[in-house]
Amino acid sequence: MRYYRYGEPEGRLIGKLGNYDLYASVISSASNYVQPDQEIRSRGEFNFSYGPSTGGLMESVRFLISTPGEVINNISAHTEFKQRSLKIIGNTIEDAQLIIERLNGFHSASHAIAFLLSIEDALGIIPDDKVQAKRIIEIELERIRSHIYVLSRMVEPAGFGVPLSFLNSLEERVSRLIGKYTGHRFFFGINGINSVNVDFAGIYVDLLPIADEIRTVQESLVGSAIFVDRLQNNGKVRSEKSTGTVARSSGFHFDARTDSEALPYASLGFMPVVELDGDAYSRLIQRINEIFQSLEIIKKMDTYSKLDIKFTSKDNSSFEKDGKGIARVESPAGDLTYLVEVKDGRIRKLDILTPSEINFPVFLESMKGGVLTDFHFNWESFGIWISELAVSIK
Amino acid sequence: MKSKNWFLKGVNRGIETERFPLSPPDEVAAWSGGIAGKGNANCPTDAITNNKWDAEKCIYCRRCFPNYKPTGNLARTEPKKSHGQFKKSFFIYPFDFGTCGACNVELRALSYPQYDLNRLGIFFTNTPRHADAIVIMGVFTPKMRDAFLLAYDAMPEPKTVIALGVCAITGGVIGKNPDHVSVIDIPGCPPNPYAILDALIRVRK
Ligand code: SF4
Ligand code: SF4
Repeated sequence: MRYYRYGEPEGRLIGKLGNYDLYASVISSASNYVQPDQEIRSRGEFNFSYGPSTGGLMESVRFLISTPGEVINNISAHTEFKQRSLKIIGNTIEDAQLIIERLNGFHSASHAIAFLLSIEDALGIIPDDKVQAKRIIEIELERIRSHIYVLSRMVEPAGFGVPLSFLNSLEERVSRLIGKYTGHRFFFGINGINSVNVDFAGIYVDLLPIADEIRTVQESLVGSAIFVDRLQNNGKVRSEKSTGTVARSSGFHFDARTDSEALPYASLGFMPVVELDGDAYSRLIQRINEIFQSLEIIKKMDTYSKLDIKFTSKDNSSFEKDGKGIARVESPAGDLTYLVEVKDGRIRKLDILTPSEINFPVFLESMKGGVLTDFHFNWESFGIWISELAVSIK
Repeated sequence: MKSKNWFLKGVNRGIETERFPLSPPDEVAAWSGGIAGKGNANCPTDAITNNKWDAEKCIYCRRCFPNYKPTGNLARTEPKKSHGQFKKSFFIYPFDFGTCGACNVELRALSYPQYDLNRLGIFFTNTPRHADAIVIMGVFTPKMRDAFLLAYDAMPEPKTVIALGVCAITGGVIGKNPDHVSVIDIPGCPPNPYAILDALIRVRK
């Protein structure tokens, strides 16, 4: 295992990964991680059930809200409605990947890349620099689209028609660019062991007009007192048990791009930006800032991926057939970790820790004491995907 | 001079809505439409048998490449019945059985300026009580079954079911498809927004 070692707890505790506690560079069997309570008993005047199927939610989930009418005294959730059981154990690596790509299709590149990095780690394969550069481009493109999508979901409940159309149009343009370069709008079918079957040369130039428009949207959203008022102090949270944008918008510098070596972000001198207030407004600003950072990263990587760098990896025939590997990447939602065990070229064991799992209890905590009308703004600001939460591996 | 007024910003930007289906799609990702070719396919879902491609099973993994290649056409299946009564207004209710999220996102994209489904008299509704069609997505999940039956029962007559994405049609590589009788299957993993729009238009003819 190149990126991780077994050991005593050390540094940032990210979450529970299978039977281990996952830290920045250590996995430890000692269980210091207490899963935050997701089932909080209601004590309000009445319980309001929202979901599992309603037009206001993108995915199937049920929230049970305890309220005297406006204030949310308590909130719990049932995420198991759309629980999928994915048959991966015993599969070849290639067949397993088909399913991994569809675990959370919207963040498919991040999932496929984290999975492949853990496989390469298990099999003693050192990925080629050029492949790693393309993987970074994929994840940053995915982040740009994902952040634009979350912004649009935050604007939608405000009935803010023009900015919503701006953002929707931008998201669609990014999706079309991804489709044009990779042949698929969700990066399906392009990643493999030490390979990315795409030529990204020129993509930065194609993204430039989108960057200009994000600036326009930013100016206008921040200038709307009514919209800003819905977000400020809404869902305020500062938790060491959060990840990704949620953590970074409350002052934590948590970012797998700086504390995981699985992808070479360090060579870019990348440093995460942070916001301090930890409310829905900070998460909005944080996402906008991160879009610009992702564009900068793509700019550097676009040049890099054009260079003709020689393969540094071993020949395919000399790969190990067995091994255990672990890799963590920064998906658009936060820390995403895969722990795999490979035996005779097949998946023997697989544990996944997703950012939605980490942030979901933090969302519930942040909603307590809020008001019903703020629910959608706050929920959307977390960027949680139920599909990467309600899933088991068999 | 930069305008601070959203209305003016919107107007200044001009019309982004395309004329599809009157004009061809602007940009369709290669591996989301038709596929044709000859020879060994190595297909994980048996979407190719005897050199024939079955859209309802294809997950666009590209294992059949280069023997098989994208045709550039939209992936289509024929409606099993025509619903001319929804010609003037067609209200659809998205229903997530067990998706990966991508089908949900592509269906939502129909409301984006490029597609603007409202110009064609098609609308999303937030409740099955106002829905003409329920659009099911994802593989079968036991706990969503009751929710589906409740939603379907709540819909006024006449009503119909549409299956969106390979998971909902055949289960793809993820699981079992929900047990349903759909008026049209919209193939893809996920289906391209143009293909979804195209199917919604054809079902009302
Ligand atoms: S793309 Fe994949 S699923 Fe589709 S026909 Fe080719 S091999 Fe089969
Ligand atoms: S059909 Fe494909 S894109 Fe749609 S839910 Fe299933 S795996 Fe996801």
